[in-house]
Amino acid sequence: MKYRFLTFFIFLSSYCFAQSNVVTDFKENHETALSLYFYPSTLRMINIERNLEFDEMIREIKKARFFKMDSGAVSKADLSKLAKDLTNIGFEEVMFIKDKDTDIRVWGKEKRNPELVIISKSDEELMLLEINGMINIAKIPKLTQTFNQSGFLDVLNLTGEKKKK
Amino acid sequence: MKNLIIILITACIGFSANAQNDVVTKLFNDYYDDENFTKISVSSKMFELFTHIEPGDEDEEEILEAVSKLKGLKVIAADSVGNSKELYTKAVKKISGNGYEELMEVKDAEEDMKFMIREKDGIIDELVMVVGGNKSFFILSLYGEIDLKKISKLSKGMNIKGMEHLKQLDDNKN
Repeated sequence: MKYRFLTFFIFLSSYCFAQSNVVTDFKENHETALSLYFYPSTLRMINIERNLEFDEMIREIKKARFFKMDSGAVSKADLSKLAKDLTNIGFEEVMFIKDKDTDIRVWGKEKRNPELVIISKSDEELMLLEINGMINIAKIPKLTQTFNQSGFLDVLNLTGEKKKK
Repeated sequence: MKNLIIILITACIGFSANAQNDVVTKLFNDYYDDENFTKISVSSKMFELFTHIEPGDEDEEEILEAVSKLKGLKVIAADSVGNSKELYTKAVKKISGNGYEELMEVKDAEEDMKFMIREKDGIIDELVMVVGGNKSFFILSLYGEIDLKKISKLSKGMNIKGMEHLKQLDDNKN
Protein backbone atom coordinates (compact mmCIF):
# COMPACT_ATOMS: atom_id res chain seq x y z
CA MET A 1 0.00 0.00 0.00
CA LYS A 2 2.74 2.46 0.98
CA TYR A 3 4.37 1.84 -2.42
CA ARG A 4 1.22 3.15 -4.07
CA PHE A 5 1.55 6.40 -2.10
CA LEU A 6 5.24 6.60 -2.91
CA THR A 7 4.59 6.07 -6.62
CA PHE A 8 1.81 8.68 -6.50
CA PHE A 9 4.08 11.28 -4.85
CA ILE A 10 6.93 10.58 -7.25
CA PHE A 11 4.52 11.01 -10.16
CA LEU A 12 3.08 14.21 -8.64
CA SER A 13 6.46 15.81 -8.01
CA SER A 14 7.76 14.89 -11.45
CA TYR A 15 4.61 16.47 -12.96
CA CYS A 16 5.04 19.68 -10.93
CA PHE A 17 8.65 20.13 -11.95
CA ALA A 18 8.22 19.04 -15.56
CA GLN A 19 7.98 22.57 -16.99
CA SER A 20 10.94 23.82 -14.98
CA ASN A 21 12.97 20.87 -16.13
CA VAL A 22 12.31 21.51 -19.81
CA VAL A 23 13.30 25.18 -19.53
CA THR A 24 16.19 24.38 -17.17
CA ASP A 25 17.51 21.67 -19.49
CA PHE A 26 17.35 24.06 -22.43
CA LYS A 27 19.13 26.74 -20.43
CA GLU A 28 21.82 24.34 -19.23
CA ASN A 29 22.54 23.15 -22.75
CA HIS A 30 23.20 26.69 -23.99
CA GLU A 31 25.46 29.43 -22.80
CA THR A 32 23.40 32.16 -21.13
CA ALA A 33 24.42 35.81 -21.40
CA LEU A 34 21.93 36.96 -18.79
CA SER A 35 19.77 35.15 -16.26
CA LEU A 36 17.22 36.88 -14.09
CA TYR A 37 14.96 35.28 -11.53
CA PHE A 38 11.91 37.04 -10.22
CA TYR A 39 9.73 36.23 -7.26
CA PRO A 40 6.77 38.33 -6.01
CA SER A 41 9.09 40.34 -3.75
CA THR A 42 11.77 40.98 -6.40
CA LEU A 43 9.16 41.76 -9.06
CA ARG A 44 7.83 44.49 -6.80
CA MET A 45 11.39 45.81 -6.37
CA ILE A 46 11.55 46.60 -10.12
CA ASN A 47 8.73 49.01 -9.52
CA ILE A 48 10.86 51.76 -7.99
CA GLU A 49 8.17 54.35 -8.71
CA ARG A 50 5.87 52.35 -6.41
CA ASN A 51 3.14 52.25 -9.04
CA LEU A 52 0.11 50.45 -7.64
CA GLU A 53 -1.13 49.41 -11.09
CA PHE A 54 2.18 47.64 -11.77
CA ASP A 55 1.95 45.79 -8.45
CA GLU A 56 -1.60 44.74 -9.33
CA MET A 57 -0.55 43.60 -12.80
CA ILE A 58 2.10 41.26 -11.42
CA ARG A 59 0.02 40.20 -8.41
CA GLU A 60 -0.77 36.77 -9.85
CA ILE A 61 2.79 35.97 -10.92
CA LYS A 62 4.32 33.46 -8.56
CA LYS A 63 7.69 33.19 -10.24
CA ALA A 64 9.40 34.28 -13.43
CA ARG A 65 12.72 33.37 -15.01
CA PHE A 66 14.36 35.24 -17.85
CA PHE A 67 17.29 34.02 -19.92
CA LYS A 68 19.09 35.77 -22.75
CA MET A 69 21.30 33.79 -25.14
CA ASP A 70 23.19 34.31 -28.34
CA SER A 71 20.73 33.18 -31.01
CA GLY A 72 23.56 31.91 -33.19
CA ALA A 73 24.25 29.25 -30.58
CA VAL A 74 20.68 27.95 -30.74
CA SER A 75 19.83 25.85 -33.75
CA LYS A 76 16.43 25.29 -35.36
CA ALA A 77 16.60 21.69 -34.14
CA ASP A 78 17.13 22.92 -30.55
CA LEU A 79 14.04 25.10 -30.79
CA SER A 80 12.00 22.29 -32.34
CA LYS A 81 13.06 20.02 -29.49
CA LEU A 82 12.08 22.65 -26.94
CA ALA A 83 8.65 23.01 -28.61
CA LYS A 84 8.24 19.23 -28.67
CA ASP A 85 9.26 18.88 -25.02
CA LEU A 86 6.79 21.61 -24.01
CA THR A 87 4.03 19.89 -25.98
CA ASN A 88 4.84 16.59 -24.29
CA ILE A 89 4.16 18.10 -20.88
CA GLY A 90 0.84 19.63 -21.88
CA PHE A 91 1.80 23.04 -23.24
CA GLU A 92 0.29 24.40 -26.43
CA GLU A 93 1.23 27.32 -28.60
CA VAL A 94 -1.23 30.06 -27.67
CA MET A 95 0.20 33.02 -29.54
CA PHE A 96 2.82 33.98 -32.07
CA ILE A 97 4.16 37.23 -33.45
CA LYS A 98 6.28 37.01 -36.55
CA ASP A 99 7.96 39.89 -38.32
CA LYS A 100 11.10 40.64 -40.26
CA ASP A 101 13.41 40.74 -37.25
CA THR A 102 11.73 38.74 -34.54
CA ASP A 103 9.81 35.55 -34.06
CA ILE A 104 7.94 35.34 -30.77
CA ARG A 105 6.18 32.17 -29.68
CA VAL A 106 4.07 31.93 -26.54
CA TRP A 107 3.35 28.55 -25.03
CA GLY A 108 0.70 28.19 -22.36
CA LYS A 109 -0.59 25.58 -20.02
CA GLU A 110 -3.75 25.85 -18.00
CA LYS A 111 -3.65 24.56 -14.47
CA ARG A 112 -4.78 26.10 -11.19
CA ASN A 113 -1.82 28.41 -11.75
CA PRO A 114 -1.40 29.03 -15.46
CA GLU A 115 2.10 28.78 -16.89
CA LEU A 116 3.60 30.59 -19.85
CA VAL A 117 6.83 30.12 -21.73
CA ILE A 118 7.69 32.95 -24.11
CA ILE A 119 10.44 32.46 -26.68
CA SER A 120 11.63 35.47 -28.65
CA LYS A 121 14.21 34.92 -31.37
CA SER A 122 15.93 37.57 -33.45
CA ASP A 123 19.14 37.41 -35.49
CA GLU A 124 21.20 38.55 -32.49
CA GLU A 125 19.58 37.07 -29.44
CA LEU A 126 17.20 34.53 -28.07
CA MET A 127 15.15 35.43 -25.03
CA LEU A 128 13.32 32.93 -22.94
CA LEU A 129 10.80 34.01 -20.33
CA GLU A 130 9.05 31.52 -18.12
CA ILE A 131 6.15 32.78 -16.05
CA ASN A 132 4.39 30.84 -13.36
CA GLY A 133 1.08 32.64 -12.87
CA MET A 134 -0.56 35.25 -15.03
CA ILE A 135 -0.06 38.89 -15.99
CA ASN A 136 -3.26 40.80 -15.26
CA ILE A 137 -3.98 42.28 -18.71
CA ALA A 138 -6.89 44.28 -17.35
CA LYS A 139 -4.27 46.50 -15.66
CA ILE A 140 -2.40 47.27 -18.87
CA PRO A 141 -4.57 50.27 -19.98
CA LYS A 142 -4.00 52.16 -16.72
CA LEU A 143 -0.38 51.08 -16.62
CA THR A 144 0.41 52.34 -20.13
CA GLN A 145 -1.01 55.73 -19.14
CA THR A 146 1.34 55.80 -16.18
CA PHE A 147 4.22 54.59 -18.34
CA ASN A 148 3.87 57.75 -20.41
CA GLN A 149 3.66 59.99 -17.39
CA SER A 150 6.41 58.68 -15.16
CA GLY A 151 9.60 56.78 -15.58
CA PHE A 152 9.90 53.09 -14.91
CA LEU A 153 13.06 51.18 -14.32
CA ASP A 154 13.29 48.86 -17.29
CA VAL A 155 15.47 46.19 -15.75
CA LEU A 156 16.11 44.38 -19.01
CA ASN A 157 17.27 47.48 -20.88
CA LEU A 158 19.22 48.69 -17.91
CA THR A 159 21.22 45.50 -17.65
CA GLY A 160 21.79 45.64 -21.42
CA GLU A 161 23.08 49.21 -21.14
CA LYS A 162 25.38 48.26 -18.30
CA LYS A 163 26.87 45.48 -20.35
CA LYS A 164 27.52 47.80 -23.28
CA LYS A 165 29.35 50.25 -21.01
CA MET B 1 -24.10 3.56 -40.91
CA LYS B 2 -24.43 5.27 -37.52
CA ASN B 3 -20.68 5.89 -37.46
CA LEU B 4 -20.79 7.36 -40.95
CA ILE B 5 -23.52 9.83 -39.89
CA ILE B 6 -21.48 10.85 -36.83
CA ILE B 7 -18.38 11.38 -39.01
CA LEU B 8 -20.41 13.47 -41.48
CA ILE B 9 -21.93 15.61 -38.69
CA THR B 10 -18.49 16.13 -37.13
CA ALA B 11 -17.04 17.06 -40.54
CA CYS B 12 -19.88 19.57 -41.10
CA ILE B 13 -19.34 21.16 -37.66
CA GLY B 14 -15.63 21.36 -38.36
CA PHE B 15 -16.25 22.88 -41.76
CA SER B 16 -18.66 25.55 -40.48
CA ALA B 17 -16.29 26.44 -37.63
CA ASN B 18 -13.42 26.85 -40.07
CA ALA B 19 -15.48 28.74 -42.65
CA GLN B 20 -16.04 31.54 -40.16
CA ASN B 21 -12.48 32.78 -40.32
CA ASP B 22 -11.64 31.52 -43.79
CA VAL B 23 -11.05 34.80 -45.63
CA VAL B 24 -8.77 36.33 -43.04
CA THR B 25 -6.97 33.01 -42.53
CA LYS B 26 -6.37 32.87 -46.28
CA LEU B 27 -5.04 36.44 -46.30
CA PHE B 28 -2.94 35.57 -43.26
CA ASN B 29 -1.45 32.57 -45.04
CA ASP B 30 -0.83 34.66 -48.19
CA TYR B 31 1.33 37.10 -46.24
CA TYR B 32 2.83 34.55 -43.81
CA ASP B 33 6.23 34.32 -45.49
CA ASP B 34 6.39 37.96 -46.57
CA GLU B 35 8.91 39.74 -44.35
CA ASN B 36 7.28 43.13 -44.93
CA PHE B 37 4.32 42.03 -42.83
CA THR B 38 4.04 41.44 -39.12
CA LYS B 39 1.76 38.54 -38.30
CA ILE B 40 0.11 38.01 -34.92
CA SER B 41 -2.08 35.08 -34.00
CA VAL B 42 -3.69 34.46 -30.63
CA SER B 43 -5.58 31.25 -29.93
CA SER B 44 -8.65 30.71 -27.75
CA LYS B 45 -6.45 28.95 -25.19
CA MET B 46 -4.62 32.21 -24.52
CA PHE B 47 -7.90 33.95 -23.80
CA GLU B 48 -8.92 31.05 -21.55
CA LEU B 49 -5.76 31.57 -19.50
CA PHE B 50 -6.90 35.11 -18.67
CA THR B 51 -10.05 33.76 -16.98
CA HIS B 52 -7.84 32.82 -14.02
CA ILE B 53 -7.35 36.49 -13.15
CA GLU B 54 -9.43 37.94 -10.34
CA PRO B 55 -10.84 41.33 -11.41
CA GLY B 56 -10.09 44.21 -9.05
CA ASP B 57 -12.89 46.54 -10.12
CA GLU B 58 -15.84 46.86 -12.54
CA ASP B 59 -13.68 48.09 -15.45
CA GLU B 60 -11.36 45.11 -15.11
CA GLU B 61 -14.30 42.75 -14.78
CA GLU B 62 -15.69 44.09 -18.08
CA ILE B 63 -12.35 43.70 -19.88
CA LEU B 64 -11.78 40.19 -18.57
CA GLU B 65 -15.37 39.15 -19.34
CA ALA B 66 -15.04 40.39 -22.92
CA VAL B 67 -11.67 38.64 -23.29
CA SER B 68 -13.02 35.35 -21.95
CA LYS B 69 -15.60 35.23 -24.77
CA LEU B 70 -13.03 35.55 -27.53
CA LYS B 71 -11.95 32.56 -29.57
CA GLY B 72 -9.06 34.08 -31.45
CA LEU B 73 -7.32 37.06 -32.92
CA LYS B 74 -5.32 37.49 -36.08
CA VAL B 75 -3.39 40.56 -37.19
CA ILE B 76 -1.50 41.32 -40.39
CA ALA B 77 0.36 44.62 -40.32
CA ALA B 78 2.88 46.47 -42.46
CA ASP B 79 4.13 50.01 -42.04
CA SER B 80 6.20 50.53 -45.17
CA VAL B 81 4.60 48.95 -48.20
CA GLY B 82 4.38 50.91 -51.43
CA ASN B 83 1.05 49.49 -52.60
CA SER B 84 -0.86 49.85 -49.33
CA LYS B 85 -3.97 51.44 -50.92
CA GLU B 86 -4.14 48.64 -53.47
CA LEU B 87 -3.78 46.00 -50.73
CA TYR B 88 -6.53 47.76 -48.76
CA THR B 89 -8.95 47.78 -51.71
CA LYS B 90 -8.24 44.13 -52.54
CA ALA B 91 -8.65 43.00 -48.92
CA VAL B 92 -11.93 44.91 -48.44
CA LYS B 93 -13.28 43.43 -51.68
CA LYS B 94 -12.31 39.90 -50.66
CA ILE B 95 -13.78 40.21 -47.18
CA SER B 96 -17.06 41.91 -48.15
CA GLY B 97 -17.54 39.35 -50.90
CA ASN B 98 -17.60 36.64 -48.26
CA GLY B 99 -20.74 37.62 -46.40
CA TYR B 100 -19.31 40.24 -44.04
CA GLU B 101 -21.45 43.31 -43.41
CA GLU B 102 -20.00 46.77 -43.29
CA LEU B 103 -20.22 48.33 -39.84
CA MET B 104 -18.32 51.57 -40.17
CA GLU B 105 -16.01 53.39 -42.54
CA VAL B 106 -13.61 56.19 -41.61
CA LYS B 107 -11.68 58.15 -44.22
CA ASP B 108 -9.21 60.92 -43.59
CA ALA B 109 -6.14 62.39 -45.25
CA GLU B 110 -3.87 59.77 -43.74
CA GLU B 111 -5.80 56.53 -43.96
CA ASP B 112 -8.95 54.65 -44.87
CA MET B 113 -10.46 52.36 -42.33
CA LYS B 114 -13.26 49.86 -42.62
CA PHE B 115 -14.93 47.72 -39.96
CA MET B 116 -16.87 44.67 -41.03
CA ILE B 117 -18.76 42.10 -38.99
CA ARG B 118 -20.19 38.67 -39.37
CA GLU B 119 -23.29 37.79 -37.38
CA LYS B 120 -24.74 34.46 -36.36
CA ASP B 121 -28.04 34.15 -34.45
CA GLY B 122 -27.94 37.85 -33.58
CA ILE B 123 -24.46 37.61 -32.09
CA ILE B 124 -21.41 39.16 -33.72
CA ASP B 125 -18.97 36.29 -34.08
CA GLU B 126 -16.29 38.11 -36.03
CA LEU B 127 -15.12 41.69 -36.31
CA VAL B 128 -12.69 42.56 -39.06
CA MET B 129 -10.89 45.88 -39.29
CA VAL B 130 -8.96 46.85 -42.41
CA VAL B 131 -6.77 49.96 -42.49
CA GLY B 132 -4.91 51.34 -45.47
CA GLY B 133 -2.62 54.34 -45.02
CA ASN B 134 -0.06 55.99 -47.26
CA LYS B 135 2.42 53.21 -46.71
CA SER B 136 0.71 51.21 -44.00
CA PHE B 137 -1.68 48.31 -44.22
CA PHE B 138 -3.43 46.56 -41.37
CA ILE B 139 -5.99 43.79 -40.98
CA LEU B 140 -7.35 42.63 -37.67
CA SER B 141 -9.79 39.80 -37.16
CA LEU B 142 -11.30 39.24 -33.76
CA TYR B 143 -13.56 36.21 -33.44
CA GLY B 144 -15.66 34.65 -30.74
CA GLU B 145 -18.59 36.37 -29.03
CA ILE B 146 -18.11 40.08 -29.58
CA ASP B 147 -19.90 42.82 -27.66
CA LEU B 148 -19.34 46.12 -29.46
CA LYS B 149 -20.02 48.07 -26.26
CA LYS B 150 -16.98 46.52 -24.68
CA ILE B 151 -14.77 46.64 -27.74
CA SER B 152 -13.15 49.95 -26.90
CA LYS B 153 -12.15 48.85 -23.43
CA LEU B 154 -10.98 45.55 -24.84
CA SER B 155 -8.78 47.26 -27.41
CA LYS B 156 -7.05 49.18 -24.63
CA GLY B 157 -6.61 45.98 -22.65
CA MET B 158 -5.03 44.03 -25.49
CA ASN B 159 -2.52 46.82 -26.15
CA ILE B 160 -1.63 45.53 -29.60
CA LYS B 161 -0.34 48.07 -32.10
CA GLY B 162 -3.15 49.22 -34.37
CA MET B 163 -5.97 48.12 -32.11
CA GLU B 164 -6.45 51.68 -30.93
CA HIS B 165 -8.49 52.09 -34.13
CA LEU B 166 -11.25 50.05 -32.48
CA LYS B 167 -11.91 53.06 -30.28
CA GLN B 168 -13.50 54.64 -33.35
CA LEU B 169 -16.48 52.32 -32.89
CA ASP B 170 -17.19 53.74 -29.46
CA ASP B 171 -16.47 57.35 -30.48
CA ASN B 172 -18.88 57.13 -33.41
CA LYS B 173 -21.66 55.85 -31.18
CA ASN B 174 -21.33 58.76 -28.75
